[in-house]
Amino acid sequence: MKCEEAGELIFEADLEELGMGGDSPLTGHLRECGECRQAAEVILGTESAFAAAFDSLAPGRSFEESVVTAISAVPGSSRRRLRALPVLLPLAAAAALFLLIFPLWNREVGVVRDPFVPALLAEAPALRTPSERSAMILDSGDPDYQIIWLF
Amino acid sequence: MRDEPERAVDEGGGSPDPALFDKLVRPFYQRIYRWALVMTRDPDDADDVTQETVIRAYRHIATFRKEGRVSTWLYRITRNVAMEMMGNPRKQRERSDERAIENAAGSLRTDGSEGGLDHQQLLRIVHAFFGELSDRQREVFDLVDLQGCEPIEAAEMLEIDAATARTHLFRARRLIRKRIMEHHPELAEVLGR
Ligand SMILES: [Zn+2]
Repeated sequence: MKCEEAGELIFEADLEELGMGGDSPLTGHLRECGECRQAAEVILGTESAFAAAFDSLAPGRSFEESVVTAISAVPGSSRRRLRALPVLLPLAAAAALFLLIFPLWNREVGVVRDPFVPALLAEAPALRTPSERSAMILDSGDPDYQIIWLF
Repeated sequence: MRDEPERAVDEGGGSPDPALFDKLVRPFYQRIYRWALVMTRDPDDADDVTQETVIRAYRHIATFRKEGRVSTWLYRITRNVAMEMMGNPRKQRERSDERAIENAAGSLRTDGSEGGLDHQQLLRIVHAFFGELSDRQREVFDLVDLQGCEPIEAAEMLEIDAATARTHLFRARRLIRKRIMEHHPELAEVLGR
């Protein structure tokens, strides 16, 4: 194979072939011809750098936060509450205790209006709870978080 | 494809499913962004497309079919979102920039590492090297040569037949490799270019 012929192939070849993988006429020529091999290596190296450059790209820093906010606005979503749950478990436990100890504030629906304690926003029939457990959604006082109380 | 997550399970249901979303979609955030960047060639647009894609995936997670690939499903959503956004004249971008091509090509090292490239350079490369390719060529080249998909998988993602995908791939390679060789005239001469 002549170098010009190899050049034709090099411009369309798969990367594996450029790396002299397999046993094609082109790889045979690349093994024998230093100049064509060098051209193939330049192409391979540049495309690898290109791929690595792409691999390092990622969405902006606020991306996850924006997604969480947007998703929590989707009707039927329990996303934000679920994400907040692990962080706020101790707070939820305290809230639950408070609700159990001081139910007189509102016996009917358990609404607690003291600003220092979580307020019940809703009982949550839409939540999928572990078997034989119920759930309530409580306001933490922070608009970014709500608390799920499983009981 | 490299790092392809498992084929997913669709248990039906019409409402968002956070657990399924976490399992299927979250691992793809970076890849969705990358697809979006290839499609839009603009980091701000890519951010917007990625966010909208993720939200749509969340809303429609119940429509994902268990026999399908997550990547294919998400890629199609990304394409739809990008096409909608790029269809907006406000979002149209300059398609070719010779100087950017020169600058970007000069920034790329050919020893297989990307050391020394900062974010701006990377974006210039994205803009430049893909500037001369058609949308299809750009996407197939990225999927196959940069991300390691099989051409048939790329064809499936793009909803075109495999032969067409290969044609786009060859044309993209020719254009990009021609640009690369322009920076190595001594080698280009050997190859008859
Ligand atoms: Zn040769």
